Amino acid sequence: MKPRSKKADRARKPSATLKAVAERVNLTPSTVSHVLTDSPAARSVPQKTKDRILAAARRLNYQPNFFARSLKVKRSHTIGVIAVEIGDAYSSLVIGGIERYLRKRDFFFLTVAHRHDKKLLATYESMLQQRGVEGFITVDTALNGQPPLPTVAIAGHRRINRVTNIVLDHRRAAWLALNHLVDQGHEKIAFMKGSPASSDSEERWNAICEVSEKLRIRIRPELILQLEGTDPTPNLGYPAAKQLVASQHPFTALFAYNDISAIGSIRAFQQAGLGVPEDVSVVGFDDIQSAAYLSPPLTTVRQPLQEMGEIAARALLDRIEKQAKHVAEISIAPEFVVRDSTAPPHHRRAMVSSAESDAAQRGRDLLQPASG
Amino acid sequence: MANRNKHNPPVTLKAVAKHLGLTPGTVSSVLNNSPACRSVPGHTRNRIFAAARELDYKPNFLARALRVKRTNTIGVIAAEIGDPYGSLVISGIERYLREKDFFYLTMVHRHENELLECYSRLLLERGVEGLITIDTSIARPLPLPAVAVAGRRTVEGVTNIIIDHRTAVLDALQHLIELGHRDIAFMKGPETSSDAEDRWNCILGVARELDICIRPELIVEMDDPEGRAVLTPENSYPFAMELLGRRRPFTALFAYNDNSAIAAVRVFQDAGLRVPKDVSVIGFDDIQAATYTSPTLTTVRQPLKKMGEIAASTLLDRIADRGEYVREIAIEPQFVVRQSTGPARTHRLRPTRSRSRPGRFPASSAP
Repeated sequence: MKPRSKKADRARKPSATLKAVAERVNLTPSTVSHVLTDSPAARSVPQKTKDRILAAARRLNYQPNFFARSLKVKRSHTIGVIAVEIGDAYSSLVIGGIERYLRKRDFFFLTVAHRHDKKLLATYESMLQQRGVEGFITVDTALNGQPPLPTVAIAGHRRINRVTNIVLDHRRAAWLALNHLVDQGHEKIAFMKGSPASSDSEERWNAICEVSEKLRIRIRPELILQLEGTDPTPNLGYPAAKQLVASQHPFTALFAYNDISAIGSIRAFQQAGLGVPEDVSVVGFDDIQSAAYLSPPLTTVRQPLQEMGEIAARALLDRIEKQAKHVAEISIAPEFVVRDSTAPPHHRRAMVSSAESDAAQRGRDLLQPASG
Repeated sequence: MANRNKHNPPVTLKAVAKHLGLTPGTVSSVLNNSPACRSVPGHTRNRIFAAARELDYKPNFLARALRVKRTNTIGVIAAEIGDPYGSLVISGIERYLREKDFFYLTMVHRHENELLECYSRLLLERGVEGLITIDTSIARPLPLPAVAVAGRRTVEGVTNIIIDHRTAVLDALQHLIELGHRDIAFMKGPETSSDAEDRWNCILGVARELDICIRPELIVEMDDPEGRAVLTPENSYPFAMELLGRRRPFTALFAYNDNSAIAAVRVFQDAGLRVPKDVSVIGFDDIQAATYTSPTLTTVRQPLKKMGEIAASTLLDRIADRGEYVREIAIEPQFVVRQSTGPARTHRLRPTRSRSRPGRFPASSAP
């Protein structure tokens, strides 16, 4: 930290210290402090004096020094948010939820993005700690060990001492998606396995295997697609889906790893002349903002990302402020959103003949409220 | 701060000094590499470093901040963080600050304007050394250096980072003209969005130059009754419906942003119209989702991450007293042609489908 140049110091309008205010009103700094912080001790100060102090503080542009106060009360009311990325749909919604909750409790947060750099991640913990944060929330980030402060991990799966994991109920999610496909008559279902770098991959896959067994769905090894990397664009699913089509193994539905990979898959299917959902049904995961606006609109498992951020923030603040008992895991219920990317298999003929009237019907339905 | 936790009470400078049998002043001068430490012998210095490592001494940031009056922290005030616009700009800010060892505190006002004043005060109390606002209109000078991403007003001491709207609009409208479009509809941004006014004025100016007639019946203003519209596809949807519901012929739409363009494409397709065969659509921003839709979106790219980086570097330069204060930094947009624009239709929309359907275009594109 380089000291700022003198010139810059002059340029900034100084705010008065507590001492200066006290001198101005000719009282002790502690009396002034009691009044300005509205502490119980201020009750003994006459209203007239209080008014004088407040007026002087205003006139002198007194601003309580947050750092001096933090040092004294050993609190910073700040937490650190460690995310893999900030600009993507997943993290930005989660962080939006965190912010919303912290605001209510008058907490602040510092955000850092490690972009999968392990070394950076380790540095961040101590850097944030030095800055006085009182706890961490990690977003889609695999922790290397027990962090030095109370921590809540969003989509954390490893049990780590003192870390609360916020996890989606993946069994429920898999059940909702697979039950929907089975209900529609799908048997040959292709699955996409997430990259090992994504914190949900393993958990989600285990849930799929478990639920498949219950629903008597045969998971065919030739219909399992392993995603590589964590490309946040539809390129994520595209090559895998292309390969699947090229392999010529028959399938009627795909449960994609997430919405982004579902989008890439749909593109690959459509380019190969396969209609979605006439030839292949596709189920996504996440329900990102644009999922409802794809062609076709995506059937998907919704993760309430913003709510997950809020819940994480609440869990952390309760630990920090109320010394609440440590909870190892908070499970979040997913929702299932049925849109147009899924349909019963082998209905191509029927679908084509009714496609036009379907669209027409939709158009009529949609336009009704606006036009009358 | 950590000493509220039962574990790892932080090791103070005093403790390190005591451990070594030296004065805190000596230890401090060595650990901070201050000029005074030159008089400390090399082996003592090494002992101090070894002890600091061994005891896991970490300098108290707050104490230091109080002393040197520097926090290396800035405040970021954004309209929204969960949306593609705000999050990409913030991502760019973060990337730059990281390199410079700066941190930032984020506050989101969701277009509740009364919060803005309160937020800048709160951030000031926390010792931020400067502010970046995103899609937020600053009405009054702020007591510290500030940079506004998409700032539209000229406020003393605030540097506005803005996209060159004229170029952006010119590229988009020229593209449509070359494709033969004359009947162009517009979705106009809400007042709360910083860019709305500027962009609209540019549209009016450029349209005059290109001899495009802007018809009131082809303009939808996306004004939220509560005055704090966040332009998600969901919120834009009714406005696209409204446009279609007017049953006025048009062959192209220039939407306010990608989200509203995405909503419009959906509305058009649901009504049986093909994009771009029956209607061309242009967005603005080039968010990630612009490539998710089918057809993929022709749009004006704002380099949002880069705008965040530029905002951060401008602010840090001002904080460090480097470089002159500039009122405005214009960012070049980039026009991206994808699949949602094509030649203006010369065909009549199929009458069998349009006749019975409310809200369809009249069959002809002629005025």
